[in-house]
Amino acid sequence: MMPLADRDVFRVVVVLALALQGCASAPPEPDAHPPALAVAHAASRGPVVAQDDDLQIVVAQPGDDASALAARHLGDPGKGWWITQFNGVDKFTAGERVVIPRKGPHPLGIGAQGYQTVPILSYHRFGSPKRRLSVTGADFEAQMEFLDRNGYRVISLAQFSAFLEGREALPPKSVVITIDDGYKSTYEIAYPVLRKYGFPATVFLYSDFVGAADAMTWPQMQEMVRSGLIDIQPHSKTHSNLALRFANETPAQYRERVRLEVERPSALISERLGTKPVVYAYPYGDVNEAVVEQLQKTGLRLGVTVSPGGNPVFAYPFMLRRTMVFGTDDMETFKSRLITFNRTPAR
Amino acid sequence: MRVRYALLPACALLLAACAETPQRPLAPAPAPSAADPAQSRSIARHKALADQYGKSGDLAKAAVHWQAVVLLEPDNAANRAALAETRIAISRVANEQLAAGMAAMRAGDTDRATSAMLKVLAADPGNAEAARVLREIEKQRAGRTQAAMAARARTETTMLAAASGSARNGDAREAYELEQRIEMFRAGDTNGGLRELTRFVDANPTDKAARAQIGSAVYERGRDLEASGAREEALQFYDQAIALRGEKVAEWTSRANALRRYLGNEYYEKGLKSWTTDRMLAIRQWEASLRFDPANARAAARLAEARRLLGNR
Repeated sequence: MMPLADRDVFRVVVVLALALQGCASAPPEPDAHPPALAVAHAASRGPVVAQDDDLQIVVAQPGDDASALAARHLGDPGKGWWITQFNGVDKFTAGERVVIPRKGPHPLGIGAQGYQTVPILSYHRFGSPKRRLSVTGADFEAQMEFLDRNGYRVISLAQFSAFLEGREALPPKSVVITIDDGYKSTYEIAYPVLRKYGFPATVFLYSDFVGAADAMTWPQMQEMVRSGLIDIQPHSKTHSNLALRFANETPAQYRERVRLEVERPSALISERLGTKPVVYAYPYGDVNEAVVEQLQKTGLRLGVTVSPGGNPVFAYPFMLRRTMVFGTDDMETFKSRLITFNRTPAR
Repeated sequence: MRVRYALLPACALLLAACAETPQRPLAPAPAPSAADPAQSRSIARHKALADQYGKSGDLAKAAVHWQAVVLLEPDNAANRAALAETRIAISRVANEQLAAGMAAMRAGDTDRATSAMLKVLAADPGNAEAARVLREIEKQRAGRTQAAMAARARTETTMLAAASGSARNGDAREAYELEQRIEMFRAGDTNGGLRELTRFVDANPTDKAARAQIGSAVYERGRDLEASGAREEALQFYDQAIALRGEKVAEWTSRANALRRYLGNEYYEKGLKSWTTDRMLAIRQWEASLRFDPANARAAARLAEARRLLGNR
C-alpha cells in the first residue's frame, strides 16, 4: 500500500496532467468533440467560451465592436475585419457569442463567386492645370475621401507583397496607391492628403530627376519615409525604356544599361533613405524577361507595369498590373478603375 | 505532508501559466447551454452561413462555419456529421477539379485550366498545386500582354519599321508614353526629357500629331526661358522645337529669327564695349554675333576691321 503522502502526490499529478491536457490545443478531428475547456473553465477564463486551433468563441462585452474584440483577442484592432467578415456583422450586443477566426481568413481571396483583386493606382503629378498626367489637389482629395467613405482599405505595397506570397489575407476592397517619378507636388499636394486619411503610398523615383526644378528633394523624401506612410522605390535612373534596345546599342551595351537603370536607383535609395528597395516600376510600364532577370539579381521582388486592372493572389509578381489615374478623369471614371473583385465564377 | 504542500504552489503556477491571461478584466462567461438565447442565436447564424456557403460552392468557408457550430454546440452529433461531410466534399471536389485542370493544362486550354484551379482553391485554399498552376498561367498571360513591348527590345530600326504602319498611332499606351516624356521635360528634367522626346520622334517620325505636341512643349519651354532673360538657351529650345515638329510653323520661325537678330545685336554691342579694353574678347563677341545672325553687317564689318588691325601688328 502506498504511503499517504505518495497517494496525495499521485492525485495531484493526475489532476495536473488532466488540467494541462485540457489546456493544450489538440488538432480538431471531425468526429471527435472539440477541446471542451470552455465549459469547465468559463468562470475563471473570462469570456472565452470555447476554442480550437482555428477559432475562439468569446462573449461580447458591453460596447464591443469588431475592432475592440480584435484588439483583445487577436492583439491588433486592425484585424477587426476578420471578425466582421466571419460573423457577418460588426456590432455585437453584450453577452453575444462571437467567433474569432484566430488565423484570419485564408489569404488567397478566392471563393465560388470569384476572386479578390487588388488595384494598384498610379498617379504622376499633382496640381493645376489639370492634365492627363497631372491631377489637381482638389480631385485627389475627393478621390481619397471617396476611398475612405466607401469602405476601401488603402494598403501598403509591403502588405500587398505578403498577400501575393500567401502570407496575409487582405481586407475586401483593398487598394494600393503609387505615385511615379518624384514630382515636388507629391510632397506638397499629395502627401498632406495621404496623411490626413492615414493612407500609405509608394513613390517610384527615377533618380536622375532629383535636382530638377519640379522634383522632390532628398530631405522631403526622408521626411515622408520617416512618417511611416510613404516608401520610396526605384523607377529607373534616367526613365529610358528598358524593353527597348536602341539602334546604336549592342546587346551587351543594352544589358549594361538595364543593369545600371535597375541597380543605380536602388543603391541610391538605400544610401539616402536607409531602406531596402523591393519593388520596381518599369519606365512606361514596359518590361521583358531580361529586365525581370536583372530585378531578380538586384534582389527586387516585385515589378509593376502600366497594364490596367486588378491583381489576384496568383498574379505574376514581376508584371503586376497598375491602373493609371488621369487628371482628366471624373469621379465615375475613378470609381470604375477600382476593380477589387473578379466575378468570374469559380463554379 | 511537506511534499504534498510543496506541490500545491507548483500546480497553481503551472495552471496559471496554462490559463490565458486576459488583457483586461473579463466578465465571467456564461456556460453554453441550448436554452441560452445568445448561444442559440450564434449557432443559428453560423449554421445559416455554413449552409449558404455550402450551397454556393464555397466549401472551405462552409467547413469553417460548421467548425464554429461544433464548437458552440459540442454535443450535437448532426453538426459534427455536417462538418465531416463538408470536409469529404472538399476533398472530392479538389481532387476532381485538380485532375480536370491538369488535363486542361496538358491540352493547352489555359482558360479551362484556370476555371478548374479556381474551383480547387475555392474548395481547398491550401492546395499548393492549384495555386502553382494558376500562377504559371498568369505568368504566361502577363508575358503575352508584354509581348508587344518585348518586341520593342530588338532595335529602334525595327521600331521605325513598325511605326511606319498605322498600328501605333492613336494607341492609348503611345499617348501615355508621349505625355510621360512631356511631363518629364516640363518638370525640369530637360536633358532627360529632350532625350526621351527625341527618341519618341525617331521611333514615330510620321506621327504628326505627336510631333506637334512635342514641338509645342519644347517651344513653350523656350518662351519661358526667353521671358526670364535666358535668351541663348531659349533659342536652342526654339530650334529643337522646330526640328522635333518636323514642319514649319511661321510663328516659331519668326520668333527664333527675331531672337537670333536680338542676340546678334547684343553680342555686337558687347564687342564694341570690350574693344577698348580687351580686343580678343571683342573679336570673340563679334564672332558670336555672327553665329547668331550671319546677316549682321555691322558685326561682320567690325570683325573684319579688328582682324585686319590685329593682323597688321
